[in-house]
Amino acid sequence: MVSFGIDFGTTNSSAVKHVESVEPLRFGDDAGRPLPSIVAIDKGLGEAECGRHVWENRDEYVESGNYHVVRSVKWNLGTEKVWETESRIWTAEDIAAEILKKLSTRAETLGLEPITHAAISIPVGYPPAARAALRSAASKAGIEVSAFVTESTAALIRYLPALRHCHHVAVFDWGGGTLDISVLRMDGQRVYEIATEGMDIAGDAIDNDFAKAIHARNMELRKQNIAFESMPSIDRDNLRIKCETAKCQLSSQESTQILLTSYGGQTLNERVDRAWFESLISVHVDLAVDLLSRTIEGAKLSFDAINRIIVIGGSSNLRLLHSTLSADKRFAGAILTSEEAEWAVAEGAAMVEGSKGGYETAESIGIILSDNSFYELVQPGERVFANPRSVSLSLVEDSKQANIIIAKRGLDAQNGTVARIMEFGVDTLGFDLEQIDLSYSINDDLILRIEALSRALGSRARGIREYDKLRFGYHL
Amino acid sequence: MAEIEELKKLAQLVQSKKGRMDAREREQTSHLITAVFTRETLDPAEILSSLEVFQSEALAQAVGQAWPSLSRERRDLFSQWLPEPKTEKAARRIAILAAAVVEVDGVAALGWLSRLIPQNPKAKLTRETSQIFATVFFGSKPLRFIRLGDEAGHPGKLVRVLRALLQVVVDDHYAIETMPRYRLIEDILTIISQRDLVGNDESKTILARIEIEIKRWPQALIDQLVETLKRRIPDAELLLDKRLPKGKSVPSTPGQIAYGQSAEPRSEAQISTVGAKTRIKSTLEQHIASLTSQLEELGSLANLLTEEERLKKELERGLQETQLRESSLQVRVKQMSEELEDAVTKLKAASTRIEELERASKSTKESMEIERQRLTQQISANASGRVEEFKNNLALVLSRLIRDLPARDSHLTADVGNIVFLQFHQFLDVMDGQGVKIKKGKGAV
Repeated sequence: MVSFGIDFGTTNSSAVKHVESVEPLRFGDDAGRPLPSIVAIDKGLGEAECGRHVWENRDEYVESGNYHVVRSVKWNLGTEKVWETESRIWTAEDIAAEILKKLSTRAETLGLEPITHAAISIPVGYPPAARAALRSAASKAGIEVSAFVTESTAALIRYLPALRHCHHVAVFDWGGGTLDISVLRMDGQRVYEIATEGMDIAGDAIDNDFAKAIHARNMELRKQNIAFESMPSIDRDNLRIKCETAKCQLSSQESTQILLTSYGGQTLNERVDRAWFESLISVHVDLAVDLLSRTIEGAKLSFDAINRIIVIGGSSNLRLLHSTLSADKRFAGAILTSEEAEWAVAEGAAMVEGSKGGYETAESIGIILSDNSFYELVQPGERVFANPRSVSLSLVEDSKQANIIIAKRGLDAQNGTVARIMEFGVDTLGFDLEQIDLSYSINDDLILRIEALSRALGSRARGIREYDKLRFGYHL
Repeated sequence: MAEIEELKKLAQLVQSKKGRMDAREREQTSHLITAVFTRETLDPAEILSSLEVFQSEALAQAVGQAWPSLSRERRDLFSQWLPEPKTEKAARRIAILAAAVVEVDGVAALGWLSRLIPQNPKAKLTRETSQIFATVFFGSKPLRFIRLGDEAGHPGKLVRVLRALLQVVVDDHYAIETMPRYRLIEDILTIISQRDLVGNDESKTILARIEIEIKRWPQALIDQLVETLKRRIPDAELLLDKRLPKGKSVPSTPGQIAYGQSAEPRSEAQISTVGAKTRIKSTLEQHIASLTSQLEELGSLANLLTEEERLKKELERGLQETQLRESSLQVRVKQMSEELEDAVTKLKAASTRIEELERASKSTKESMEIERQRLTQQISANASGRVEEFKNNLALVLSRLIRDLPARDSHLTADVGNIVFLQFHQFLDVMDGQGVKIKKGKGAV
């Protein structure tokens, strides 16, 4: 069976085609790397351009004034934000569709069929509106979203063969734009996310800080005091690219040179030793490792309880990160790294699409009745059900409004700890025992939708609410 | 009225169960029939049509309970209803009902039983009727038949019934125990004596059979029979003398003289007159003639019995062999049927399996072809894609190094020249790092 997975990332996006027993095929940019998620829209022509060229010349695009440069549309999805050009208005969905189209086109360029269906990875807590918009964007790109899967679960599934007999796994995903850490519990065939933390200090921030440090050294040498931001955009872009290249070289070399024929009108020749570079980025790495320990503590687990730490993402190849984690007794024995770490999430998503697995509720959902009892609507362990179920309720007093209180009860709630998750009123005619119809569903975007109306008043007094923070477990 | 309705409902229920009744239903039926027949306010005619549905035991229990208190009219009503013995079930029902009343109403029992016995005295009782009689009258419940001899009973019917009962009781085929035999014979002798039927031709046959039977008894039982009959009937000795085995003591009450001994004192010496002699001679001749006739009769009866016994054994042997053959054939037929069924099932399964395998083979071939094409395409795409991506990646890395390369016609300062020179070396290093080996000059380290 052929399946596709898409990692729609903040900084980079990638797709993987998975066929059983065959090496997965990866689609990113034409150099075989993940596709930068940046998009430049020509304000005059109304045309969009995306990929590495835009990424490497982003400051130049911005300062030219001719383009809208959207660095990460992922977090604009589901919002009202638009980008106006002379010929048309671009929505976030339109821009996301461009990135997804580019990935699909890449498959066609390689002589394969375009991507027509895929599982797409999303961050934990990705808003419902954003999920719906992403589904719509994929549809515009000719891709049907078969499933959404959280990035950490996708990564875990990618490395599943190495995780047999594990009970707790941490996923350390350090990409270009963000560091996302999740702690997952594996309970038989089910995977639950029990703690998630994140920060936006990642590869781009390191490149930027590196470029600023080189700029500062150069300015000191020149005995000048010009701010990095005041340099011409082309010079900033060039220096950033040279620094990114040097960062990669320093993973295997003791030193390298950053060379520019023109930087602020003069040449730039800076020798960089690994020790100096690592002292520069040690702050970033320390912050990342600290976040890892805080996430594990947040999961109320000891470090010994973590059987594996999956280290993925473009920035996970930093030599200093590896040496820091390996030197830390808390993590040393659990580290699991991969040279193909940038593709792990997309590969996991592709495996999700090809499997029979799916999300199941990890908690009980119910309604609080007038006697304060909990009436269960959805049991823990149920698969999503897009077709609504219904239940009939009655008013217990002559009131003009019925108060609907939805609550959830955790798996471990043997003592019955019930937490309210939403509360809303529905207009009624106001007679005792008036019938209130309540229907509910959990759609493929993992959103609980509740709809209530008085049968006497009909659909004109309908109350609808959605809730997107339910806990789910992935059934492998 | 409620009883009648309830009984009718019960009849419907039993009919729906094809005549099956449990103990509770039998008890209930008996209770209701008794109630309908014994209560003056209820009309038993209303339930007669339902009675045929019920099991005979339930009916018999009710009749046994109700009969002593029933009026003549109600008894007649029931007797008129009682269906003719056209089936074995009907015959059995009559026998069971007769057994229920035989100790209280001999006339009724006689009337019913006579329906089961052929009118022709020479005709034999059927095997089925005999079996019914053996089970019903000589089973676990001891019955007395003395009331059959009630005065109102027709003598012809009486003798036929007694003969039939005797015929069954002495037939070893039914293996009836000695005490039921004893009771019947005691009652038959009493009845024959009391109803003065000794001279009747059929009674003679009955008595001959009794004589044969008695000879098989232990002496103590014979003695008891004699004692009992002496108490019941005045001329018991006359009846018994000829029929009891000789040489055995026959206990008698003090003062009584056995009949066999009474002839000797009346010898010729004690008779003085010729008339008396003539009478004695005549009596003796009659006696001898009677004995001779009885002997002949017994002889022919014995022959008949022997012949019957031989034929019976022959038939039983033949029947046994036939049954064995039939049973063996049935086993063989059953085995063959099972083997045939098994073979048909296996054949069907094999055909299905062949079809499945053919379909699976075809489907696998198609899938393999599709998969082969897909894999070929994928491998080819992957290979060419990788080569292209390698080239593009190399170009990307190199273009990053020389992204600030001055234009071809620009004027180079020494600094810029130096940077370009170092970038060129970086260029070569990258090529080397990417696996593109470039031979350098001696100074290019």
